[in-house]
Amino acid sequence: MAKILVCDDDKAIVEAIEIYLMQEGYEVRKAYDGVEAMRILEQEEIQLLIMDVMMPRLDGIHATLQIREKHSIPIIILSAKSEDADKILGLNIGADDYVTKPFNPLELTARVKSQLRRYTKLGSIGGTEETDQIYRSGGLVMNDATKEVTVDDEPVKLTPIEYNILLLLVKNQGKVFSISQIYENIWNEEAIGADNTVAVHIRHIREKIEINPKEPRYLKVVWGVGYKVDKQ
Amino acid sequence: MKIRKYGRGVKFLAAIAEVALVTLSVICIGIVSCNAVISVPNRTNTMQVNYYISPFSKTAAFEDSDVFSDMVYDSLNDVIRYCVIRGQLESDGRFDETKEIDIEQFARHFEEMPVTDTSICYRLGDLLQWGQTQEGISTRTYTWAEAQEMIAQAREETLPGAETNGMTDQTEFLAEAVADQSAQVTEEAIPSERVVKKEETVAEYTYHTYTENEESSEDTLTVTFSAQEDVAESTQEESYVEIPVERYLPVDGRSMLAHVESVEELEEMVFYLKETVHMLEENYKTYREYLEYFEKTETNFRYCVFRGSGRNREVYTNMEIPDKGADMEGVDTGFASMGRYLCYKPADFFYETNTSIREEQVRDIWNDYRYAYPDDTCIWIGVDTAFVYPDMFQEAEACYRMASPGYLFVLLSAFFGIGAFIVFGFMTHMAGKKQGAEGIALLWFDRWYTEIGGLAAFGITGTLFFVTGFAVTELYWGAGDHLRMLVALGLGTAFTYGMFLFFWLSLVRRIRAGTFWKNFLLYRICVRVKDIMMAIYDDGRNVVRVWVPYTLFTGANLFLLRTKDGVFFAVLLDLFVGLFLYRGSQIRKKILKGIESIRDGYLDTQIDVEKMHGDNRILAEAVNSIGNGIRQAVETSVKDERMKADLITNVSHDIKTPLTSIINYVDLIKREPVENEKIRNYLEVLDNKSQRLKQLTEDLVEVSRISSGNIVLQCEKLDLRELMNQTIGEFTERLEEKGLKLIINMEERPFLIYADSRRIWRVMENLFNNAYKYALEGTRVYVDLRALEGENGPGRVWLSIKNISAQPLRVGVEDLTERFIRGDVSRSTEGSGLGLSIAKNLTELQKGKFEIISDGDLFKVVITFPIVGEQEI
Repeated sequence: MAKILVCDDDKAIVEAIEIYLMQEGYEVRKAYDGVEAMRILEQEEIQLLIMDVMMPRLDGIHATLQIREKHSIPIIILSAKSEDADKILGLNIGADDYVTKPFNPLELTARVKSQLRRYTKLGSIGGTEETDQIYRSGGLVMNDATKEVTVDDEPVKLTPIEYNILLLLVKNQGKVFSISQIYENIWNEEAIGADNTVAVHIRHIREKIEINPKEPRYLKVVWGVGYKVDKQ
Repeated sequence: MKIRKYGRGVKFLAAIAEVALVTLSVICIGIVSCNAVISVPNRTNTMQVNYYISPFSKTAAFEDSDVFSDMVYDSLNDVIRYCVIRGQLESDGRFDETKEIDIEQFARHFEEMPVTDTSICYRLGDLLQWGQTQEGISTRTYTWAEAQEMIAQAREETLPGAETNGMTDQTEFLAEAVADQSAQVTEEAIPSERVVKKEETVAEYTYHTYTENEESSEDTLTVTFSAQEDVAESTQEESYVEIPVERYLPVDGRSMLAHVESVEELEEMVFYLKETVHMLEENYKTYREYLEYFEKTETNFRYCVFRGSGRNREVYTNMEIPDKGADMEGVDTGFASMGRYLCYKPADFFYETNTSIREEQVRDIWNDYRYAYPDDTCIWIGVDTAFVYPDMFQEAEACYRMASPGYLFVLLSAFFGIGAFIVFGFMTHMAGKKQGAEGIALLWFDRWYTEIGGLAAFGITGTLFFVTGFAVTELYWGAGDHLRMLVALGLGTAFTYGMFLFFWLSLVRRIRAGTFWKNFLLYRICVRVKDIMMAIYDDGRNVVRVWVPYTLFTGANLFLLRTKDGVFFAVLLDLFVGLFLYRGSQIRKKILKGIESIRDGYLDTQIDVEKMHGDNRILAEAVNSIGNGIRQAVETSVKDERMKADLITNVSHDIKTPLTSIINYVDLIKREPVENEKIRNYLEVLDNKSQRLKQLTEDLVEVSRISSGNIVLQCEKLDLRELMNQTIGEFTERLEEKGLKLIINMEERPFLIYADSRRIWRVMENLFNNAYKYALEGTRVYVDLRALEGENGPGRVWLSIKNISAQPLRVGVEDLTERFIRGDVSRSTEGSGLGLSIAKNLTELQKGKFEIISDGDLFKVVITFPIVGEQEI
C-alpha cells in the first residue's frame, strides 16, 4: 500500500491521523516539523504528504515550496487557519488540497484516497477507453454509453434526473446554468413558478459525489446565479 | 542635469591659473606697448623722445615706418624754427649782438602793421643780457600822475635844445636813481611802504629838476582826460604804473620814457619789452642748443633753407651749397638723390617728397612761422638712409630693428585671454558647488551683508586698480623703466584681478544660493520691522488689534486729505489697506474650506498657518487641532477593532488545535466497541459539545473579521430570487425533518442586487439555520420576496422570513444581533448565537438593511437591498 507522511507538531493529532489511515490500510511515516519531513522525504519513497502550516523550525508553507522543487507527490495541508486568504495561499504555492482543523476524519481519509488515486492513476487513464461518450472533470468521470459515473474511480449511483443534470453541467464545463435553464433542459418544458426541485436535486448530487458537500470540488454553486462544473 | 563637483584643491588651482592667465595676458599687452616705443635722445641730447610703433603696422624698412616719418616731421619743424631763430639773432650768418631789435615789431610779429608809430630799438646783446640778469626786468611802481610827470620830464630833457647836455645829465641822474632804487627794492619787503617811499623820492626829483614844466603837464592831463568821466578819472588817479628800471637804454641812448607820449603807450612798450626779452632769451637758448646739432656735418640728416632770392638770399644748411644756392636745380637733384627727402616751396605751391608726410602737415608748421620768412622761401630736407653717422636716426633705426614683432605678443595676449575666459566660465559655473554636498556652499565672506560686501568689493578692487594704474603710468611715462613697469603691471593685475575674481565668485554664489537680496542689510531691517509689528499684532489684545490700526488709518487719511498732494498718498494707503483686508478675507476663506473638508470626513486636512496672524491664526490652529483630535480618535478606534479581531483570530487558532484532538479521539472512542450504555451517552455529550465548540470558534473568528471590516467583498450582480430558490433547495429537506413547512411567496421576476455571492449565501444560510434551530416544530416558515417601489428609480427588494419561536423571546430584538447574546439565555439547543449577528453585519456590509421584528412568538427578519437595473454596473 501507499506510504503516507504525516507532519504536525501536535503528536496527538499525528497519532490520530495515523490510526485512521492505518485502518484504511496505508503505511504511515510521522514527522513533527518541516525539516524532519524533508529528511524523511529524501530517505523514503512517499506517495502522499499531510502537513500542518504552523510548525517549529520550518513551517508548512516553506516546506511545501521546497518539496515542490523536487517532488510532485500530492500534498494536503491541514491547518487551523480557516481564512480564505490562507487557503488561497496554500493552494497557490503547490498544495493539492487544504483541510481545516478541526477536521472530519472521514473527510480527511476520503480526500487522501482521492489524491492518491489521481496521483497513481495519472497517465494510465490515457486514451484507450477514451471515446466520445466519456466526459471528465478532474476525478469525476461520466460514461454516457454505460451511464456509469465514477469519482476517483469509486462508482456513484445517481437517479436518471440527477444523472442528466450532472451530464448537462459536465458537458458544458465552466458554464453557469440557472435553475430555470436546467429545468428547461432536463424536463423539456417551460419553468413556471418558484421551483426548488432543481436545487434539491443538485443538493442530492453534491451529497453523492462530493466528500464535503458544503465545500464542493466538482458541482459548484454560484449563489444567486446558478450551478456549474469547473474545467479541471 | 548631473553636475560634476570638484574639490577645493581643483578650485584653488583653477583660481591661481585664472589669475596667472589674466596677468600674463595683461603683461603681454604691456610688452607690446613697451616694444611700441622707440626712445631716442633729442637733438640737444638733453632728454629722451618717444616714438610709437603700432603693433600691426610694422613694415620691413625703418624708413617706411611711422617712427621715421614722425622723426623727419619733427626735424622739419626744428629746422624751420631754427632758421627763424637764426634770422633773429644773426647777421650775415653770424651771431650779431649789435643787431638792433625793435621791441614792438618783435613782440607783435604776428601782426602785419605796428600799432604805434613809436619805434624803440635795443641792441640784441643788451636785451639778452637783460633777460639773463637775476631778476629780469625789474620795475618800480608809480602813481599815474607821477608816471605822467616822468614822461613829460623825459621828453623835455631830450628836446632838441637840451640834447647834448640833457643827455648826460639824464644818464647820470638815471644811474643814480637806479642805484637808489635797487637799494630800496632790496631793503623794502612790503610793497605799500615802498610805494609811499617812492612817492617821496620821486617828488624830490620833481621839485628839483622839473618845476618849469608843471603847467604844461597839467594841461596835457586836462586835455587827455577832459572827455573822460569822473569815475574813470578817479580810477586812473588811484591806479599805479609799472615802470622798468632802465638797466639798458635803447640804441639812441634816450630813456624809454622819452620815446612815449602817454602813460598808456608807456605801459604797452613795457609789455613789449618784457615779451621781447623773454622770447629772445628762450630763442637764444634754443639757438645755442640747435646750433651744435644743425651745424654738424657728420649727420644723416640734411637740410637746406633759402630765404629770399638773388644776392639777398640767406642760405641755412649743413651742406655745401655754393654760390648762395644759385643753382637751385642742383640743390633739388642733390636732395632727390637721398634716401628720403622732402622739398617745399610755398611760393610755387610746390611740394615733393618720398616720405609719408603730407603737404598739409608741412603747411601747418609753415603757417606757424611764415611771419619770419619771405614768400620765396624754399625748404629741403633729406635723410641718408644708409645711416652711416651716429645720430638719432641711426639709433632709432637700430632700436627699430631690435624691437620684437608686436603682433606676436598680441596673439599671445589673446591666447591667454581666451584661456582665462574659459577658466573664468568654468569657475563661475562651479561656484558654490561643493564636492560631496548638496546645495550651495558659502564662504564666510558670502554671509556678509550685500551692501557691505559690495562696498568692500568696489573699495578694494577700485583702490588696487587705481594704484596699479598710477604706478604703471608713472613708471612708463615718467621713469621710462619698462622692466619695473612690467613687474608693477603684473603684480597689480594679479592682485586686482584676484580680488575681482574673489568678489565675482562671491556674487555668483550669493545669487545661486538666493541670498543676494536676502542678505541686503536694508532687506533684513525691513523684515525685522515687519516681524516686530506682526509680533505686536499677534500678542496684542482686541483693543490693540482693532482700534490702533483703525485710529492710525483714519488719522492718516484725515491728515493726508488736507493737501492736494496728500490725496495721492491717501489713495495709496487706502489701496494698501484694501489689499491687506482682502488678504485677510482670503485667509478666512481658507480656514472655512478646511473646516468644510474636515466636516466631509477628510480628517487629514491641515490648514497652513505659516502666513496667518492674529485671530485667524488662532482659529486655524484650533481647527487643525480639532481635525487632528478626531483623526486620532478614529485611527485609535479602527486600530483597536483590528487588534481585537486579530486577538480573537489568533486565540481561536490556538483553541482549534487541541479541539481537533478532542474531536478526533472522541471519534476514535466511538469506533471502539463500548458495551456500557452510560459511557455511550457520555460520549454523545462529548461529541455534541466538541462540535459546538468548533462551530463557536469558527463563528467567533468570522464575526470579529466582519465587524472590524477586515474582509474583502467581491461583489457582482446576482438574482435574489435565484438565491432564495437555491437556499430553499438546500434546506427544504432539513426543515421537513423538523416538521416545518415552508410557505413561499415570491414575485415572478428577477430581483437583481449587487452583492458578494458567497457572503449573501452565508446570510441566508444563517437565517434558515436560525429558523431550523429555534422554530416551533410543526409550524410554518414564511418566506416573502417582493419589490418596494422607490419614490424615484428602481427602489428596493424586500425579503422577509417569519417563523414561530419555540421558546418565548425574552430579550429585546437589538440584543439578538449583539455578539455573544443569544435570543434566549435558557435555551440549550445548538448554535453560538452569533448567526444573526453575522447575518446582520454581512447584510449591512453589502449595502443592505437588516431588521428583526418580534411580536410575541412571531420572529421575523426583514432584509432589503437596493435593486440594480439590468444595465447597471
